[in-house]
Amino acid sequence: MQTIDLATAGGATLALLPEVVLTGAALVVLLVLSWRHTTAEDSRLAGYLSLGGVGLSAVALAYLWTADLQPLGLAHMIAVDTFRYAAVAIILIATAATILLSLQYVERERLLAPEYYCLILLAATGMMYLAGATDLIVSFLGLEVMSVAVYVLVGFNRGSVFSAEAALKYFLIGAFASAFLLYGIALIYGATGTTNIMEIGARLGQGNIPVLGALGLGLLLIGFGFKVAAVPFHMWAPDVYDGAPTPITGFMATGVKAAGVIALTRILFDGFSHSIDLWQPVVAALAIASMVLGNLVALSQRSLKRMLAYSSIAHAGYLLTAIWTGSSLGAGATLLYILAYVLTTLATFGILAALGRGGERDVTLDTIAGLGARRPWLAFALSACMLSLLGFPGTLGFIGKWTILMAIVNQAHAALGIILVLTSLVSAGYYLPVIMSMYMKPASATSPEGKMSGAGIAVIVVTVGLLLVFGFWPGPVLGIATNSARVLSGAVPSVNALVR
Amino acid sequence: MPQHSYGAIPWIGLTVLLPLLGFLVNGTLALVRPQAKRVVSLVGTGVLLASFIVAVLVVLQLRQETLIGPYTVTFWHWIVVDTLQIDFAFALDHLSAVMLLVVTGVGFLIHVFSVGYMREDPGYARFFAYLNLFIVFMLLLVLGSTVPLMFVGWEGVGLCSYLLIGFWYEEKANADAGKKAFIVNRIGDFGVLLAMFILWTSIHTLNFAVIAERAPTMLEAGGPVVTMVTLFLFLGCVGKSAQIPLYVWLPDAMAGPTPVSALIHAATMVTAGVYLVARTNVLFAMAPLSSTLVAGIGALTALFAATIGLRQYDIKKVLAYSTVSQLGYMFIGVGTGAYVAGVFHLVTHAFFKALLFLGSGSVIHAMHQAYHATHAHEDAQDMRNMGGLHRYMPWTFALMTIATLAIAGVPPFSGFFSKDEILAAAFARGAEHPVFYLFWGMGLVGALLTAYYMARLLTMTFLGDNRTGTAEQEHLHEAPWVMTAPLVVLGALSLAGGILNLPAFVGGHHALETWLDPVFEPAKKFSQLVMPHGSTELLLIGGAVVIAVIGLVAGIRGTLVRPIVVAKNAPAEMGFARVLFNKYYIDELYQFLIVSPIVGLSRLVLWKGVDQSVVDGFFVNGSAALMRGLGWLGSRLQTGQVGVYVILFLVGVVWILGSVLR
Repeated sequence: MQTIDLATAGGATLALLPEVVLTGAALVVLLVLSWRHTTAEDSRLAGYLSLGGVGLSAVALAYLWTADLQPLGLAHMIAVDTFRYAAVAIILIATAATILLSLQYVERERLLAPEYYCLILLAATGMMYLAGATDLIVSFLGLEVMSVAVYVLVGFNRGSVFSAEAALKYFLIGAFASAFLLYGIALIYGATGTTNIMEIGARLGQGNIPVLGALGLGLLLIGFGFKVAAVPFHMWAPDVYDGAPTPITGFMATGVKAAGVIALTRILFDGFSHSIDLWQPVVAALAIASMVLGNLVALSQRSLKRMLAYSSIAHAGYLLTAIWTGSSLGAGATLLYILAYVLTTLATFGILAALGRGGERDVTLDTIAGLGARRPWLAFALSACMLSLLGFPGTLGFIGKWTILMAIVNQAHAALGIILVLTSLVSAGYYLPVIMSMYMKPASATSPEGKMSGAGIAVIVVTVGLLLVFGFWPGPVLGIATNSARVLSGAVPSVNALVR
Repeated sequence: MPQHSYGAIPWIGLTVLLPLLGFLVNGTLALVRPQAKRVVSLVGTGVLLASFIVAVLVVLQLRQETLIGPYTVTFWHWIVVDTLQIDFAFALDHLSAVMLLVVTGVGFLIHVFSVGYMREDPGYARFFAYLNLFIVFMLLLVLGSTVPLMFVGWEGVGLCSYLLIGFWYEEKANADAGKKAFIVNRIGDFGVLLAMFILWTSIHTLNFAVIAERAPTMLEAGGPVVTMVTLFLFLGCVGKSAQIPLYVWLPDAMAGPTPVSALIHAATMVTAGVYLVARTNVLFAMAPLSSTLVAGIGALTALFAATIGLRQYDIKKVLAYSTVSQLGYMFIGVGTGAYVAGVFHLVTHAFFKALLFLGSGSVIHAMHQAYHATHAHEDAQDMRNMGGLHRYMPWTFALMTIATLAIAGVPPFSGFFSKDEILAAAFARGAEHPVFYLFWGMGLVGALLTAYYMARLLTMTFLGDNRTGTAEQEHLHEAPWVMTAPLVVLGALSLAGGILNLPAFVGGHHALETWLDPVFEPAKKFSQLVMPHGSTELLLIGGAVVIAVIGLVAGIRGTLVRPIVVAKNAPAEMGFARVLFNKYYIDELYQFLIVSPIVGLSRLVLWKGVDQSVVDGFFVNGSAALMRGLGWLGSRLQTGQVGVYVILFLVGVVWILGSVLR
């Protein structure tokens, strides 16, 4: 164990090493593409450079994780704990996969502007700050860095009306939501005189929370509700997911959601653990609304991207359920579920990107008919993903959902668990038709799907492989997730309903 | 002190492992190279021979050990839940040793016979794979140290029986026979499961050795618990060992290849019920009511099946009913408390009935070849098409004669000693409970009928004039040595099997009884049987012999005096003979009383009524339609207009701020 002083420049740099490395990589990419920004080769070069940056950042993360650093005193600004490391790891996985999936995609869709990769790196840096922040100002900065980059990425397909529409909608409502978030931070500062999450927790203390603080908490929940696409702040999601370039949709569904959920967990657990009675009903209501609406509306979608958009709303509901518990087991479940969701969603969007034939708005249940015969391995991978999203045993998605249910049961609260299970049941109504269509419907007379790039295949093989391996052998990830979550100080102890 | 070494006994696992390997190899070959018959024969019979040798070594070692309780080899902990711990373990005691030798020994002989019998069959490798697998499960049944492990074997042999009855599954009748066997056995298996549950809740163990230890102290002798357990166990035995009322599957099971009938449906699997009663002898001894029922069902079956056997023309059907009847005798034995006699008859029956089946297989083989050569489409199993075969197949005739004398109970053949002991025991028990005199009487009449139908079989098949057809006669000949050699060994065993347990009046020492004594010792506390001695014993024996001889003579004369018409021209049976020929219409009765109502209920009420309209129509499709409708409503919100989105956003804001401010 080694203590570091975050007040010194060296200490802060060490603690922020993954973020610093990634920012540096973004700058390098930017520099390189000042000279080379015209051909497909230049685009590829930027992609590989970015990938290298992600790799270096991962090395830095691995160093931090194994070095077991301890901050001197309270960790201002940025957390130095395993919860942050786990979050950063998930974000890096999402980033790397997004870059790999984009390599072929941007060439096929003629989006040959290498800034694309630079923006992905910057967005990822923002996510990492957001997920690791121990100060609301840092959270907000991270959030904005991430959001601004993602706004641009959503509208990156300048030739597409839908892409532009999506970017504009996302930007408008996003700016609206950011205002709520910022105002919430201001009110909390007004109530407590600090923006540090741990100190907020200490100052709010026991007893009643001042009105100003409660109002601030409510506004924070609204802001984060928007970022994770929870009902009723979800309306942008289907349009934006549909319009954005497919790898970016995957990036949003995974990275943005993961960072938002993790930041929310830390703020609620560390900053507002004493006001749990205040936020639990709100989170529960958001969760229930998201699970019910997301799953029901997904039933009536034919386009796979829109279906996945609603499904991502439902998954935000599941994650909010885990946060609702307020227990360390719940935080662990959140991490584990995010990992499962990120891996599955990356693979799914990777497959969707491969299935598209230039403007993949037309990937519907009908176009994948007969895929099982045409592309057996791809169909198998997509089936595994659908089963994992459904939470079918044998996949990591099941382990994640099971852990969430455990966390709920431990709080001796049945209703949320029952809703989660019932809405999951409804979700079978739109996940299984995908499998059915691939294997049991005759192929429609459409041109065959394009060939996949090696990078795309690698992403799908690795993610689906991990899904299945950890689905059967969940011990390691389960251990990491629950151990990482233990550092959240404010988490309420688990009440074991089974022992009582 | 040096650890006592048990010699070959710890290697007992090999007896199961070797056939399992055989199954894997033959199963693989069946899938990839079904034409590799030479390898299949070598592996299939080789593993059985090796398994038999290991078994012999194990039993020889067991003779020298003085064990208290069984020798247990634990391989792994199989099921561990709370206080319930079930090991995957084999238990060797003197009873399982006897079964071990019978299963591997007779099993080996039948495997050898099959090499010749199945030579031309395209499913040769598959056949040997199933046969090997059967031996694996049969040994699990015999050696399992706990009821659940025994039950794995119990179900496994059922599975193999199903697979082998329907071996020629292209014909619907064969597949139906397999299904019938499987379904009828389910009823019995249900009983075994219930017995297991009651045992667990009442004495908290499922280990046979511990059951024998705890039952006398923890259960009330003659009480409701032990009676229920034994009745449910016996229900399982009734199914597996084809007793009234669940015997109906066994005659149909003759649809399988003849070696299967010999191995599974005569020598080994069907005797599992007798073995189970003997294995749980303490429980049955503590439940006199159940034991009486066992003996009663046994006596009834012994007599009833024998009467059906009188009027069957299919050579295998006669033997099938004979098996049902002989199993009845074994149950008279174990129900009377003469466990040794029951097991003794099990062993001798394994010898002579395997011989009879294989002999009939040899005959069918010859008949089939003859008809095949002349392209005739006659029934190769119908005895009306045979006759005079002793001229063409002298070896088979001689050996079948030995087996017939053995089953009829003519001294000094093996069946005489074992059947005599059972009847003597029933007579002895009659002094205590007069109802056993009735069982004894039924057994005696059954013995008369047994002698009659066996003599009839032998006469119709081998004596008189040949009715196969003039063109076919020149193609009739003895089977190859690979089929005859096992017959010779079985013939020797049928002839001399009585040596195993020679009674005192011929200078014997009841060797088997002494050997099995430790196993049945605990039961003796509850039911002591005083066997008849001296003049009573000799009188009983004399009576039995006279009856056997009368039956044999009547059978031969009755068959020879009347002319026999070949099957295709045969007139319909009339009168009571017709009832017997149609097996008392029991199958039709079951069809009318049980099968049709259940099928009707399932089809009309459960399927079309409950499942299709209520479950599918209302619950499944109804809820799906409801959800889809709600989803469609929800999707109407998604107008694409940012203004609408912001309005909804603001609704959310008001709601959240309202709830945090309260």
